[in-house]
This record gives sequence, structure tokens and C-alpha cells, in this order.
Amino acid sequence: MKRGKNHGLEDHTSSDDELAIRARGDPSAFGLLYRRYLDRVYCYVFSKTADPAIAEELTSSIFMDVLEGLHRYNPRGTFAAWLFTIAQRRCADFHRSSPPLPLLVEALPTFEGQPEDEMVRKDLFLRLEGILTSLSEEELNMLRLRYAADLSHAAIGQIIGKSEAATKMALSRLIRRLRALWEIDDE
Amino acid sequence: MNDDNALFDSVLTDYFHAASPSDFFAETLETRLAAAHLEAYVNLPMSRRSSVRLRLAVIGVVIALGLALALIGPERVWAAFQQFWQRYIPGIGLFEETNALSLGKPVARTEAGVTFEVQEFVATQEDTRMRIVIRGLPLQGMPEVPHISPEAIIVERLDGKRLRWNTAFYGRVWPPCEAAECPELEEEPTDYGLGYILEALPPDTESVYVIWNVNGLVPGSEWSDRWVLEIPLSPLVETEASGFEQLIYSPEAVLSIDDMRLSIKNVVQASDRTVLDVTWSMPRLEAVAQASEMALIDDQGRRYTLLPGAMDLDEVSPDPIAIATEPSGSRRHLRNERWTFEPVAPDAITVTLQIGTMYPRADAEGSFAFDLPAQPQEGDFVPIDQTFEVAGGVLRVASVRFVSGTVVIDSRDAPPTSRKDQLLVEVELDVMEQPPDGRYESIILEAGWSGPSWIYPDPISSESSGIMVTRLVFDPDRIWSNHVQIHFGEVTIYREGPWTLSWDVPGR
Repeated sequence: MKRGKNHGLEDHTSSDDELAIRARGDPSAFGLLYRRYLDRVYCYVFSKTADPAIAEELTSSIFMDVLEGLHRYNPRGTFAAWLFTIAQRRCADFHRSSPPLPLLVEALPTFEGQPEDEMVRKDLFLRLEGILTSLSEEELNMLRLRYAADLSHAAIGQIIGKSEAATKMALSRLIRRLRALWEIDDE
Repeated sequence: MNDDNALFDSVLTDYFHAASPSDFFAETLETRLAAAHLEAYVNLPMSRRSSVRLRLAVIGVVIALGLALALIGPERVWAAFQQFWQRYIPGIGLFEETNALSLGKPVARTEAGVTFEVQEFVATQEDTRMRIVIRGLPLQGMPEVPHISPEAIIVERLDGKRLRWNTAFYGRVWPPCEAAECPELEEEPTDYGLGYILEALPPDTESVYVIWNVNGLVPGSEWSDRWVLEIPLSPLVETEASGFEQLIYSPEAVLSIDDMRLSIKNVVQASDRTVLDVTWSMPRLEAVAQASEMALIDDQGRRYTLLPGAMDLDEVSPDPIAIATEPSGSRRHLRNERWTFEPVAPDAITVTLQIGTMYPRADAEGSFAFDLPAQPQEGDFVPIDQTFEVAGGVLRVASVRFVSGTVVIDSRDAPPTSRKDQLLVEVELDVMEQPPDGRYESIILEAGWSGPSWIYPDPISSESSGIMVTRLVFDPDRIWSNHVQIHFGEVTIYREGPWTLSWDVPGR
């Protein structure tokens, strides 16, 4: 598995909101927020575009939007929700002006391991993709926010307009359904 | 959890994390953001922060400083300015002209009302610089001018090798304005400007291709359409159209204002403008000052005013917020700026820079709390009567009142420049004592219960004190307790000069 890299030093002591306030006058604070969220934003965008070049372009735009909007951000402990609301809009803009997208497997980078492991991995991903195609865009978005963006249920709820409890319930049901489909597919 | 569920969960997690951004992309974007941050927040007076997007658009905007340029360090880049054979071209900046190649005249393609034009292209031994403008993009039905990222433009040699860019500016710009009536700054510009500093070309290059991946932005085009312009290159002509030679020199003049220092690194005296490269040196980042009412005055008393203009490609140092250590061991923040004035007359012997006013900034600490009325409505008034020491002066928070006011909704989900009436909280401030050597100009107030972030009211000028004070949106959905707090943010001080700095024009 190729997990997100840590692009630079992290500051684990400051909250997102503290950094967002400091970032209005202190570029290093914005740098910390950037490093904290770069991989998550990129993974989220890549999962929606399946194209590394477009994912980079959209990721750039999202962070520029965040930078421009920073002076209007009101700290409420939901920086991640605010950031991914911007990301969601940027991706929506892209989808309005581009052709239908391919699925992810063919666009994923090559696994840094043995060729046989790569084949197994690809098979598993293809099997998963076969199941994911049965989901609605809304359901897929919830999965992306949870697994690609690593967001909490509360943050996802703020983005999709549901309470934390309702989001937790909806995701839990969705995962149960996917697991059942996975088992059926195995048989 | 059975084995199948465990495998499923693992595959699901891995699937969504299987891709990650490259180190090069991550580092380049971080440097671009740092430079854009400087432009958007550090160089901007508080009273103009509500128009960051517009500001970004006005000056051509986002500065991307790439890894390669950052690696060679500011010393080498600034040292290059000291070379004798230098040339200045507006929009391109200062460069070493020895063996430089350039585009003789702009090259363009127009189709479906959209024009893609390479306006300037200069290739030196150090780097390659290019300015592009795209006009006529369709606006109808779009909330804003479409976004064009710098990656959408490619420079390719005839052998197919692509040039890697180190620095890119991009953003909306106004068309050139030569009429007496130019567009108001508050109107949205419609053209799109891009500028690049790319890697150097081989010295014998005769032409290159500049390619725009249109990405469906031109009406009737396919997503995969590419517009290709061939750019012929020839040796830079070493003459000035007006016959007035450029004079480029380093006066090494320094002006001290309290604990800040302004040094002039380079002066370019050309036929159509005078360009100053200056460096601010400040004891801390928060003390970044904005100077205004600047002018040049020569020995005959002639006055030359500041010109608005598009940003040059080399305008921002590779390390825009550098830190220097003094011999005493204290650390100082450096900020490089380029100021452009009307052309100084060729017979001037000495030149004086005059700065009329300064706007130093400081963090303002402190907060006050109050109890909300049961059902807040317009006209409600809460006396506060608390005093605070702020930036060396004393402010009294007299009262908080609820008013109805107009807010701007800056959300992509809302039509552009949407406005609505909203219940707002205004804070009335009295000045008990002004800061030393100046007066309060503006102050930012913040509160966790105010919001959301994309709805913001314009600040108002306090009736009794004249200070520009931010207003807060009253949003009942965000109120957790009826005992709420308001924090002081940043204060800007107005200081009146003038401050002056003179130097001799070499050879006069």
C-alpha cells in the first residue's frame, strides 16, 4: 500500500482553527495547514477524476481558493469541512465541463512491490470497483470523504448537510451493504 | 469481524489512498502558495483585505516560485542584478541581455471570439520568460471567468522536449487601458494573463511551440483540442525605440524609520518609467508596513508619481519573506518590492524618494464579553465600557449594538456579488489615547459565533473615533451560550511623513 507521504514537518500541537487564524499573517502557519491536508485533498480529488495531471491542477486551485478565502474563514472547529466544501465545488466545476471519467484502477500508480503482489492488488481493486459502480454519486461521495479525505463523521455531516449521527448511520449502513456485496462477489 | 470483512476494509482503505501527490508537485505548490500568501495578506492593508480575490486578479497575480529557483537562493538571483549588461522590459523584468533571444512581435491565434496571444518571449542564458494573454473567454452563465491553471500552457522545443517552468503568474487582468475612462477597479476583469519563468533554451534555438490545452473553454472546441503557436526567436535588438538608453544602477541607499529599514537595491531609469527595487527590513513579520503617497523628486524639483502596472516576472524574490540575522544576532524579516514611477528626466542629477504615509501593523490582544439580549433585534444596545491598551494607545469599547446591514455572499453556490440584509453586530470604539507618532486606522474584530465564512459585511467607520472597524454577522445557529466574546485581531496604524531618501544618478 502506498500511503500519503508527509511533505515536510508537522505541527501536532496547533488545532486547524488556530493555524487558520495565524495563517492570515503568518505564511508558515498556512504551510502547516497545507502539509496537513495536501495528501487528503489530493486523494479525494484523484478519486473523483482518475487523472494525476487533473488532480494536481484541481488540488492547486483548491489551495489557492483556501488562501483567498482565509480572511473570511470563521473559526468554528470545522476547517476540514470548509476545505472539503471548497474541494467538492472545485470537482463539481470540473465535472460540468469534462467528459465522463474512467474508473480509478487503470490510473493508479504502480505498486512498489513484487509483480505478483501488484496483480493481486489490481484484482482486488477491480473487484471493489465492480461493487462501487452500483453506488449513487451521493454514496460514493460519502465514501470518498471518509476514506480518501479521512474526515470525521461530524465534518462529513457538515459538508453533506446531515447531522453527525445521521451521517454515521448512513455510512455504517453503506459499509454493511458493501461488505455483503463483497461476500456475494467472492462466492 | 470475519476475514472477508477485514480484507474488504483493508482493500477499501488502500483503494482510496493508492495515489499520492509527487514530491515535486507538493514542494512547488507549497512555494507558490507561500508567495501568493505574501501577496494576498502581507502586502495588503487591512482595509483592502476583503478584496483579496480582486487584488489577486488586478496584478496578474499568483506567483509561483519553483523548486529550482528557490534552491539557487536569493543571493545569486539578486547578485545577477549587479551585472553590467542588463536590460529591463516591462512585464519581463530585469535580465542579462548578453546573447538573449526574443520574439520580435506578438503572435496570436483567434477562433470563436477567443484570442490566445504570446505577447513577450525572452530567452537568456539563465532562463526563459514568457507573457501570455487570453481574451474573449465566454462569460455568460459562468459565476466568474474560467480558471486557467499554468499547467494548461506548455512550451515545447522543436525536438519535442518540454520546458519545465520554475515560476508562473496567472490571473484575471484588464485589457490595456489607453482611454481617459478606464474600468473601475471594482469591476471584474475579463482577460486572463499568464507569465512564466522557464528553464533556459539552447543558445541556437530558432523557434519553439507554445501550446494551450484548451480543455473545452473555447466555444465549439473539443476537450482535447490544443492550440499551437510557433514562436520565432531572434537576437534581442540592442536599441531603445525612443533613443533614450536605459540606466540601471544600484545606489545602495538606506532609509531608517523607527525599527524598520528601507534599502534601494536597483534603479532602472527608462524612457517610459523609473523602476525601484526596494527591500523592507523589519524586526518581526507583524510589523510589515504599507507605504503610500510615494513620489520621486529630482534636483530641479520635478515630481514623478507612482504608476499602476502589471507585475514583472522577476518582481518577487525567490525567497519573498526571507529572514536575515544581524551582526548583533537579532533576526529581521525582509520583504522585496518593486515600485514603478513616471520616467525621471534624463538630465536629473539627484533623485529623492518621498514616502507620504506609512501603515505599520500590530497584533491587538484582548477580548471582551457580554450577554446577548433574549431575542436580539435591530436597535438593541449593550453598554460595555471597558478600556484596552492597543499598540501603545488606549481604546475604550463603549458599546455593542445590533443593526441591520447588507452582507456580501461570496459563495460559489450563490450568484456573483449576491447581497442580502442581515442582523449585524457593531462595536463602538472611543480613542482614549492615540498610539505614539500616529493614529488608529483600522481594527479587525473576531468572534467564533459569527459567520459563516462566505458571508461578510463591509467594515464601518466608527462614528466617534473614525476607526475602520469590522462588523460581525449575528448568526443564531452558531450561538452556544448567550454569554459571548469578541476578540481584537490586528490593528493598523496611520503614520504621516514625509520620509525622504536621496541618491546621485551615476554619470550625471
